[in-house]
Amino acid sequence: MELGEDVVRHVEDLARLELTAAEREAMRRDLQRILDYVADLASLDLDGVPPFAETRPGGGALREDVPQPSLPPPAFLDGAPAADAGHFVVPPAIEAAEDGDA
Amino acid sequence: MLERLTLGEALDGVAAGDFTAGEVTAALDARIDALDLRLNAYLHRAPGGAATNGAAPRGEEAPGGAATGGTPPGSAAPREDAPQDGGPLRGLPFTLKDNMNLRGTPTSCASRILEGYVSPYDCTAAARLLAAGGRYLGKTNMDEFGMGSSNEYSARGPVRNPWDLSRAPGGSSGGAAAAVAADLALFALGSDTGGSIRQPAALCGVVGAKPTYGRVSRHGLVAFASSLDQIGPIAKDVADAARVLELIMGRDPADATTLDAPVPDLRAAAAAGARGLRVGLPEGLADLGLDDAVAAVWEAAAAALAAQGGERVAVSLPSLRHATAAYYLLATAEASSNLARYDGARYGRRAAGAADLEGLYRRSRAEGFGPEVRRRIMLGTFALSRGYYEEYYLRAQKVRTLLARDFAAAWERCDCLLLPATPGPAFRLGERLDDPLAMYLGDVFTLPVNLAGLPAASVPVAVHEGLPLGMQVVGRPLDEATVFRAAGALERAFPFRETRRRAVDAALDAEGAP
Repeated sequence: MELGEDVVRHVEDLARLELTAAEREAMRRDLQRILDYVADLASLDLDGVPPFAETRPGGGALREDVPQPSLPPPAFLDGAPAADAGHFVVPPAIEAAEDGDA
Repeated sequence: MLERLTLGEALDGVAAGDFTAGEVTAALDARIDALDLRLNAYLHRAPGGAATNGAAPRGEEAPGGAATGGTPPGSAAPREDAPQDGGPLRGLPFTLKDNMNLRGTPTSCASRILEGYVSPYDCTAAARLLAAGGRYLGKTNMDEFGMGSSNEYSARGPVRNPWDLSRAPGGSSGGAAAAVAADLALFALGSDTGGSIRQPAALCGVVGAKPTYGRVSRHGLVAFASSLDQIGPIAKDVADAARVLELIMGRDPADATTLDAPVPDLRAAAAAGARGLRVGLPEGLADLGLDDAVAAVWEAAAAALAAQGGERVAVSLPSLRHATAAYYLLATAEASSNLARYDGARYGRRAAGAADLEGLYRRSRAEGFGPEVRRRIMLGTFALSRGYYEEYYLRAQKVRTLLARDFAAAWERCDCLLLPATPGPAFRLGERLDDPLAMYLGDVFTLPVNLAGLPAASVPVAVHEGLPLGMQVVGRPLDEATVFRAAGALERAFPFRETRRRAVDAALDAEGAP
């Protein structure tokens, strides 16, 4: 397929990335080459072939369904760029409600 | 010359009282000090050297380290609980790839986005080495998040191949392979998603092994592609790789993908010889970019196994030629999902000045991820996106089924497969940087093994124009024992240690000459 800039922009949005115009064009060209290479797969007759679902050769090893100790919050918050009072600090995710509706 | 020893020799020497584990570590530390400015294999080293970390904390203690009360499942025994008798590793040092968590050490995956991140817990594989009496020596360089085959995609600069400093060591576990090859490490843990242990081991002239998917816990390994990732050893010889793999294999309650299967005696297998072994040789590899020199070495390796009583069997893996395309859709799709967690909020680096949450995500990710990681996130996101999912991701998963069937059919006729680890020798730094596809195509012989979840090892067997070439043995699921049998037989046919040592010394001396 021909990969247009619009598709690259859309994927960039989905992936939460931000490319400059020059980076986007370079990305489009790289992805185009890779898609040209994988285009071979389209020619295969895959009717009736199930998608691969399990890499493991044996059954799982689920542990007993009982609570186990885990690291306390500070162990994780200490690695965050910004944290306060037991929470990650981020820019506002929603506008403050003005009508008092919580 | 304690830094020259294999793990097996070091263990024997410590047991006999000829020297101490601390002296081995000091020798390695001195060599790292002398050479790593040129190789760039290490990203972090145990403060004061691993020799002292039996008594002191093993890294810059995490700010929250002291406050961490509970021990999560699978985490390390505290340092103070190191085995009194020295354990099977007797205090000897190991290295970790920089995508493995160890409490109190930085884990960056060689990415800017994890700048400043210090692990609050231990990955299970490292915890098992510590519990076996191992000591942390350092973290090794890698392609960012494991995405690359040359170690050039590291935010901390490329690693150089100790055989020829103008060449790449391979990747993504390039720092681990270069360190072991240059005697800057006794042995190393790497991770392998599409060949990231076996390919750099082959290009640096050392041994690398990837076990069956599910054999080694990935708890605490930073995820790249979760249906493909496995941890394994890079070592100076086959017996060392066997010894390390035995220590880290086994079920882990903290990783539900681990298997509850008995751990085989791999060292015994490595010594067992090739008599009666049916060695499968896939047809048609010449069409997959196999270099003439490598083809000749492959033939010599097959002949060597036959000379030791093995039987050559031609096998057909018709889907092998589609594996690279399928792999680069599937691995990137999984990566795009796994790397969604780097949001600038919870770990590492955050872009300054974002006004809203969306901007925080986008700018932190744009600043934090390098070019190859961005490319793979984009490709994987595309392959999973509405309108393209069926044509790309789903088709690739079906091709993966065909490939798994090819391998299953081969196991009807042979006990293991022999094929080259790489289509050619180590390439020059920069040679493939502008051509991501060329870089991907170099993984053609290793990535099918990950797609099918099989065990494999690469063993150096030849030198071509001054560079090492490695052969790869692939086994049935859970049959690491046969992989090590064939690997041991190859090593006996092609002793490589002195070859490696002389070549690496010559390269480092030549480069170091004033």
